[in-house]
Amino acid sequence: MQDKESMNASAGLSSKVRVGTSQPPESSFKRKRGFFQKDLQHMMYGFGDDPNPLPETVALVEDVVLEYVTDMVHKAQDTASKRGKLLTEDFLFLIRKDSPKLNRCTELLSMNEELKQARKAFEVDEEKLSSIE
Amino acid sequence: MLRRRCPTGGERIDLCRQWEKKMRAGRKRKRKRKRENIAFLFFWSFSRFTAYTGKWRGKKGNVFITPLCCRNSSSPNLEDPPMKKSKDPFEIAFEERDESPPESPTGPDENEAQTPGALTQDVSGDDDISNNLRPTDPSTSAASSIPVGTAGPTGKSKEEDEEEEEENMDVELGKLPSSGDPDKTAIMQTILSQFTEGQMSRYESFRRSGFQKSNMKRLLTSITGSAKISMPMTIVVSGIAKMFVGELVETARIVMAERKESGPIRPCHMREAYRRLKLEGKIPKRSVPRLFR
Repeated sequence: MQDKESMNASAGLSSKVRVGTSQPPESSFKRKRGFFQKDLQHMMYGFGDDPNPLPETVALVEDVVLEYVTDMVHKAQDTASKRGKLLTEDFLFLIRKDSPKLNRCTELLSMNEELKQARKAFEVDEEKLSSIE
Repeated sequence: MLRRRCPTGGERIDLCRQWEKKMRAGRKRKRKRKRENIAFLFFWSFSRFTAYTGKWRGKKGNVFITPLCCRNSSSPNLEDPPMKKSKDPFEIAFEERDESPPESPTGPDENEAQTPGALTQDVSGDDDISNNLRPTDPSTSAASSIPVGTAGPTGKSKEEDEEEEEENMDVELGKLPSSGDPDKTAIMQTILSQFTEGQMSRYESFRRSGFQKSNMKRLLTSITGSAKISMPMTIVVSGIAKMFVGELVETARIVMAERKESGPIRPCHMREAYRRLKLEGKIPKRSVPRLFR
């Protein structure tokens, strides 16, 4: 933990409270080390890192990503405060300048819609089948 | 008379009788429910294997065995290089779409010479996936020397997460970067057919990796403080975060190339990459400075 502290301090990144050995309750959220660790390892390999990235690197990327997401959400909330509710459009507004991200997000959302439609059609078929029986 | 002890203690006969009636009715209902459950299970399991689609569907509708695109028996892979052990579903879908059989790779050297050539065809570079492919090429040529045995398990262990992840469903269903664009799919198919095993496993990790929806939802709830986080919002944030990780890793690799270092990415490279992204303005700046680090 010592080198992680110094690493964070030198990088100018913050780290939230680390839970020792106690189990966090389900409702409240205390960030443990390695929150995204497994996913991040595969992701970093996919993007060009070693098949087994260094654990320090993974921890650092996790800190960076969490800080990034937190800042994004705070900014989105600022935009959404006038409306009152936080919507998906707020995030899309934030990344409007970044065209790869924007395109990817619109693609994901349209894919989600398509899947929903497909699932709805499937449910209807299921009902038909059971009614035939 | 009464088979069980009456809760009132058996002193008031009329109450006992009422209680006995209720018990009988409850048992009758229980039997009826049991019958209904069995019937429901039968119909449900039958409908899971629908004649319409001809394959098993899981709870969320995702496919267990084969993607929709290769419902018909897939054409035998003529090249079938000995390197490709794991058949990815979207790879099968790619091969199925293209009618003409892909050219067999003659060797690893030829492949690496060919893939940059194939990539230059893909000029319409708005596709972020092609953007990601180009930087991976110099790194995979270094990575191909790494024993592939380590790459295999990392790719396979992801399949367990897949069935729960809706976001990866588009990958499983064989949906290509731009569905409905035959040129792009053909180009993708030619590129993918010429991948080495290391490249293919890396691409597989790239496509299938993602943040867990449940984790992301929990994180968003804790940040916003509001209870309701819609599913599309989780999907969008996961997508943005994944692309951000991609930018970080790619910039870190560029930094490593400049410093002429090799091997796994170290924190110093990552910090330099983060600093560069900050200069570019891709990282949101905090309006209020963070206190109490």
